[in-house]
Amino acid sequence: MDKLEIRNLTKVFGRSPKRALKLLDEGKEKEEILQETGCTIGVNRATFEIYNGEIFVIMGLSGSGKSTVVRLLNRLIEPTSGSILLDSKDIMKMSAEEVREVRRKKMGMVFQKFALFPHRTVLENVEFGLEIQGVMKADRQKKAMKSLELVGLSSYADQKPDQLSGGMQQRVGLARALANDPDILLMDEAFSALDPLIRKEMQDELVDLQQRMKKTIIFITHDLDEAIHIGDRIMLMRDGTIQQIGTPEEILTHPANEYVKRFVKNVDLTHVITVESIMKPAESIMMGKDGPRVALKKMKEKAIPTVVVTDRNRMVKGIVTAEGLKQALEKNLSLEDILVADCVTVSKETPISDLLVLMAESEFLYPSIVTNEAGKLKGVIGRGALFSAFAGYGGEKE
Amino acid sequence: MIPKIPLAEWIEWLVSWLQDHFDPVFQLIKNMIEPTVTFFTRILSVLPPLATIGILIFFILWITRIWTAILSLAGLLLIWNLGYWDESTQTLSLVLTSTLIAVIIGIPLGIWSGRNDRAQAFLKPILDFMQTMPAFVYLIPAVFFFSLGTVPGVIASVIFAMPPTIRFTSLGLRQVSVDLKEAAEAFGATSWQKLIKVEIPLAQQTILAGVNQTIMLSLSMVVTASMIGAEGIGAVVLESITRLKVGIGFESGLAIVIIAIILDRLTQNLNQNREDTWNRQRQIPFLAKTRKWAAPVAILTVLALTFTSYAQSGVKRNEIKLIYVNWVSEEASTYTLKNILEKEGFQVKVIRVDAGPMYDAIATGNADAMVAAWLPTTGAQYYDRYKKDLENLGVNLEKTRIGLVVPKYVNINSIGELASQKEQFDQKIIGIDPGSGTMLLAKETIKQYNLGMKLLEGSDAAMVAELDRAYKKKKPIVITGWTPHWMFLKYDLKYLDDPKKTFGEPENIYTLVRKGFKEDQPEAFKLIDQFFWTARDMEEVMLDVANGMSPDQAAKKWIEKHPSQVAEITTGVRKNK
Repeated sequence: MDKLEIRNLTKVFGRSPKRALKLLDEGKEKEEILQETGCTIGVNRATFEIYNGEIFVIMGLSGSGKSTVVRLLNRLIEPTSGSILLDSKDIMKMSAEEVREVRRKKMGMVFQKFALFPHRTVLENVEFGLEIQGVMKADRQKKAMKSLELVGLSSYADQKPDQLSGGMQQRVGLARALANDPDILLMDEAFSALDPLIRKEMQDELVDLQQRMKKTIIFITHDLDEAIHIGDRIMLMRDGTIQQIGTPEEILTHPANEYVKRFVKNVDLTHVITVESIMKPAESIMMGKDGPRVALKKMKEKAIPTVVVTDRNRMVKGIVTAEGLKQALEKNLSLEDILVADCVTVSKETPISDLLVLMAESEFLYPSIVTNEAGKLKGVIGRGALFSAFAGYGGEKE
Repeated sequence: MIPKIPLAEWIEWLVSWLQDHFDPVFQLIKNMIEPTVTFFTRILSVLPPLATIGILIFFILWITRIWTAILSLAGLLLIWNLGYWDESTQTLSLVLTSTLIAVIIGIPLGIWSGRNDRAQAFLKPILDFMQTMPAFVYLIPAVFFFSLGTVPGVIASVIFAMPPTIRFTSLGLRQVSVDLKEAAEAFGATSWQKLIKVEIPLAQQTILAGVNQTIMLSLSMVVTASMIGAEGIGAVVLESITRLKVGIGFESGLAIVIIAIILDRLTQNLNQNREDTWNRQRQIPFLAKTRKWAAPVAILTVLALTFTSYAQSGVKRNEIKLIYVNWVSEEASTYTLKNILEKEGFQVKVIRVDAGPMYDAIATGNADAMVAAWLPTTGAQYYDRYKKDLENLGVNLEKTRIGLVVPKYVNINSIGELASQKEQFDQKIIGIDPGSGTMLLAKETIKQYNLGMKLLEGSDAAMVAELDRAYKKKKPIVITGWTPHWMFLKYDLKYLDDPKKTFGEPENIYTLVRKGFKEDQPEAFKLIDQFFWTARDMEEVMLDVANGMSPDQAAKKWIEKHPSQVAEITTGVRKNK
């Protein structure tokens, strides 16, 4: 279900937006319009949807219009044209009072520089949204306290914001946005001002929070790693124009144009590409049904050095190697005796960079087995496949 | 040639147009300001000075540090000891009133300018104008619109002192970070909520710094405002300047400094963190204990007493306003008349101003009477202009004289001789206030006799001081002099002959009253009409004043010494009850 539906959203900065809009419709370029009218195109006919309960990342470099887009959504910046349907109601057609209601009840905002009010305590900051709605003091304090507990800062309620660290301040910012219990969180470069370590922590917490509270989050960032890390979907913008919308993997593996390609060029894909995309179907034998001979035959047929052993329910037990099978035949041992149970087992969502670490720890002796959550066999990855994946995707890091 | 743009004429036309058409508005403003000042004065003077000082110190102790309170106590006690308490309360009331008005008008304007670029562009040149235009200039229209006294003083102070409040408020709002304003909006704050909950609290310190400036400026305006009759320490300072009384000048100046420092520390401390202040207060057990009830009790008591005093006193009706030009001679006659009137039971207020405003006040009815019109020469320029609008009751002193005066030891006798002898006088003639008729005549004389000397502007007192210095060293000096003047009693002086009669014939001093005074106050009118004395009488009073008596004392002394003359003046006048 679409939470927000944005159609042809356009923002022209300058004195004669109507003329600029006309030129834009005639297909003129941004530079031409600037020269002719002195107007800058902030956002150019953006059309996209945001699904209920997703983390939607809007990404781009500075000047790409990403911050403008998010402010158009709650009309902090007045859009020039287009429509913004929130739960099928057009925000563009709302009166100032209705827009205020939307801001109060439906959308909370978190800012890059926190924007906490220095003259108010942490609790009073969190209360702010409720206070301006006229909620009674006792009531709003209770709600604000709950919101502070959510971000783990209830013991700092009476401090002033400047007594807290950057990370804590932004948690307060988050708590303030959550206190109104809005459906949508607008987060404008919310973590950009934080130290890398804190930042990572906050990203994880946000993802966690989103899963618990099922908010729709619109997250602005210029950092591709962050976008990939937290985004369900990413919208990449340049010069006010949408370049591509898609899941992180779609954007990375199938860039829509040269710009996107260049943009994602430096990303270390091994953090993004999952085991699933490089695993191969596994040759397996079933414990109790097949014996060593069957295994050896399969190996010969496929020219592979190992084979996976499962039980009758296809639950993975381990692998057997050609070496082990030879010994089994010579000394008449059973499959159990030669079974290697401690080989690397991963889920198909594991990034291949993680897999590399695990396999290196076991000295690449055996291939890795891919299973689902229940432990059923899904595939297998040999070290050859892993290495060639790295050769193909490992970004050009300087 | 492009003719001169008649800007001055336009302004004068505008002022008189406003005077004609907006008088009710000005009266309304006046009727709002005057009671406010009175109210403050009453609050400050309803209790004996020491009790008021005690209460003030209590509040100061509350707001500031203990050392500030101790120094304030010392300062206030010094003011009281020196005898400037009443003047100080008047000054303080003036400052409080003009600050109050400046804040009430200034903060909204500042908010407007802080949130609106066009408003700022519009206000900025006006503020520049208000601040750089010499403060004296405001006094003229202020007098036209609001007559003499406290009200135009307050108005001029407000105009002069308001800009910092506007500027700092605007600056304070503009300094609030855009992020915070945006955050407030993003949570759905209305414009008003954003202002009250975010912008003003964050700009508070800057705004208060502006108010502090406003207080200081309006205090500094107090001296200037006394030129148009505003009461208070400023009047004392002004008097000491025109009379060159160094000691009194220092004392009254010191009183202003003390008030300034106390007001400054108070407002600065208001600006500090309230928690700090409260923590500090807690360390003094007395304050901690009294915190809850002391302030309301003190305020209510003083207010109650103030209102009681209102009820008791009633309004001063039938007060006669005597106005005089700031010369020693006119002070003598005015105070003598005042004391005679008071002896007969009339209530009298004397107002001291410059020559122009004096005539204007009578013509416009802002003052009732004056006994200081030197005619037909000295006051001619004003008299000709206003004579339609006032009533001339005739001469109260005959045969005055104006001319160039030298000490007897100087070896020339005629103005004609000056030209060749100007070197020994350093080519200078010592004059008095620039606006006076004497000076105009002296200028004309220099031209007619082709003297080529420079006429120095100053004041009566400065001129006498100069004379005194030269006299002691037996140095040649030439001054603009007139009779009656006590200097003729103190020094051996002579007039230089004036064969070309450029200083005109001997003059007389006339009594002028406003139109309608006769009907309003027939008995007082009769007395004033009968007021008559001689140059010799006047010089007697003047010399006493010059030797350190107050004008009231000197006048009373003369009244005691000349009962028959006084009886003549009061013949047929019914005593006022």
